[in-house]
Amino acid sequence: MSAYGAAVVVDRAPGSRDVAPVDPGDLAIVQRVLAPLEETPRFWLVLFAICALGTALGLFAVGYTLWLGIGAWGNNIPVAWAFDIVNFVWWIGIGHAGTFISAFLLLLNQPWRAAFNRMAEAMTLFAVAIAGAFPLLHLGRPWFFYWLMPYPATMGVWPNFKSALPWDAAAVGTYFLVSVMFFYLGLIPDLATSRDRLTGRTRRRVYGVFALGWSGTSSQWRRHRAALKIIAGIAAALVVSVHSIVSFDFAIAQLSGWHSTILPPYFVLGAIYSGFAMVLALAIPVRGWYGMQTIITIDHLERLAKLLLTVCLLLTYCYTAEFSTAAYSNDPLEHATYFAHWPAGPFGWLFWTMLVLNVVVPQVLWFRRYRRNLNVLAGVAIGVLVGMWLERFIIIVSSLAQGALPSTWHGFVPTWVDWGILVGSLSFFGLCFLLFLRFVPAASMGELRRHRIEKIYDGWP
Amino acid sequence: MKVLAEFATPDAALHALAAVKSLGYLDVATHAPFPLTTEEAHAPHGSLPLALLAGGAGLTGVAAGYVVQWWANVASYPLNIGGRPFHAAAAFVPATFETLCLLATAGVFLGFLLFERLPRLWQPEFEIEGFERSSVDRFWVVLNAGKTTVEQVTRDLVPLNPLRIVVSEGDA
Repeated sequence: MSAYGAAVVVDRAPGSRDVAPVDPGDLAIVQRVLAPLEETPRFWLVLFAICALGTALGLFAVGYTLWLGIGAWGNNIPVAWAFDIVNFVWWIGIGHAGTFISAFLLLLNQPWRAAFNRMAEAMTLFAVAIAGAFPLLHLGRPWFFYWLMPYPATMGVWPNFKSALPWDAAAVGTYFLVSVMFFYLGLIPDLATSRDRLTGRTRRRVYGVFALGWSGTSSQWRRHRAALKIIAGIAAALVVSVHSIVSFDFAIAQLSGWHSTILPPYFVLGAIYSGFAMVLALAIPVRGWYGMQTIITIDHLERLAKLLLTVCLLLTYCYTAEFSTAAYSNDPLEHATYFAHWPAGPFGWLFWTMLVLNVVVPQVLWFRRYRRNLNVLAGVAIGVLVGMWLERFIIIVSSLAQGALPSTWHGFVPTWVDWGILVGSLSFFGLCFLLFLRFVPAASMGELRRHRIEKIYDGWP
Repeated sequence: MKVLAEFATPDAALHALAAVKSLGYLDVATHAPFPLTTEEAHAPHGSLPLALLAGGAGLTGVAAGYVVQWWANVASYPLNIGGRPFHAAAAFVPATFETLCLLATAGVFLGFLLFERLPRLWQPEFEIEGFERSSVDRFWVVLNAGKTTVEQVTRDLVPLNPLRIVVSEGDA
């Protein structure tokens, strides 16, 4: 008899709670995913300390910027946008792969996404939150950031919606909130398993509150799946719109190098490219450290490598289209930007490095041997991350430094504050990701187990 | 009266689910750590209310987003920048699209919680000893017995080989 008036009328296996599970392979997934939630390994502490140190440096640089103003950066006129906007575009681009893996692959019924969709979604959250901080800092007076929102102020001053800045605010804000809802909704069943499986009263209580009382009924699973699919459909459209809107910041300006209709698809592809690279760069070490080789298999990484190569080719097409459009335009300014200032200007060496890292190096992924070699894969991924950062640097700084009026030309040298904020943002990302790995189930157990069952029993209903 | 039967494997639970349905029990559900049936795993049916909610919320988002922009830049504070029109429909598209996505997603998210009556941190089943394994490695079939007697339901369930049969009084 229990507290609410239930009676056990048949008990075939008294004390059955201690009996070993019937299907150990199935339970192994739960054990593997939940193990990191119960211990703090040494490498975690070391990495956490490093990231905390870097974050402290970043916070100091941000504080210095708030104190002195953005004169603390290397920005000047005409290079009014530099590291701040480069970092913004780069970080928000990295976020896109998380949504791509979660949403597109869910809609396309690709079960292998379950191995790293949670990790990629977490990456999205942190990357978008970090990205959003850069334009706010660049406002100069970030404490007035809420002026970007249309709220009924006594001053009666509204944002100008014909400017790209409020579009950005709407896009990044929406993207962050939608990502949070998508991430959390997918997480609820795993939080319930954590609530029921982990030891320790406090731990179970905290996970219990966040699990919202999930009990895995047939209705809950069905509606959960339906809700995820609908949100995935929305997120798939949203993710394309976000980087398109980011590209409008450039495309609606008059500057040659920015003023181009190819920018929206080009930016979206670049975003997905750097994001896939970040997923690889994170998944490869994490699976090793946490012994998750059975969950994130080499086949999964190989598929991701193929996607990376596909996006690489698409992006190469965009580069070609961009340059041939410039050539075809017969506009002397376009010619100067694309054929003199970018490849042979003061940042020409960065331009060529960018092309090597983004276009040439990833071609090794044509070979199966290298797609399945973790060192090569991680190297290519980190190369692409650097290359994509450089691409944004070339587009922004190289175009601004040598504009239409040669008498205004000016170089750009980043200050320690610029570097400090960049290092700080990377460290803060690492810090958030480490906390995620420590406290949140890093893979969707329900989905992994369902796929295992479907694989083992052919024709499972 | 609600009767709950615990099983050790998903196939046993699925078999029992089909069996009790064929015996004429109408109100049957499961508790499982992962989606048991194809319908649960891929949800081809039963998503219409959520989809309608997404559509309704999304259209509200479109209206709200556009009206706010129109109000701000045309009615309340018209700003002449280089002679551009105050009512610039094309320029209002990006933010309108974002409010569409935001409200549609929020609608689905809140709709899921509303339809499933969550959060409900305590549920009567949680009082059953060992029920927490239903999210780890145990599978429960729950049926509403209506006016059928406990003896009859037990007789129906025992051949399906459950680990335990639990009966709760009331509509818990």
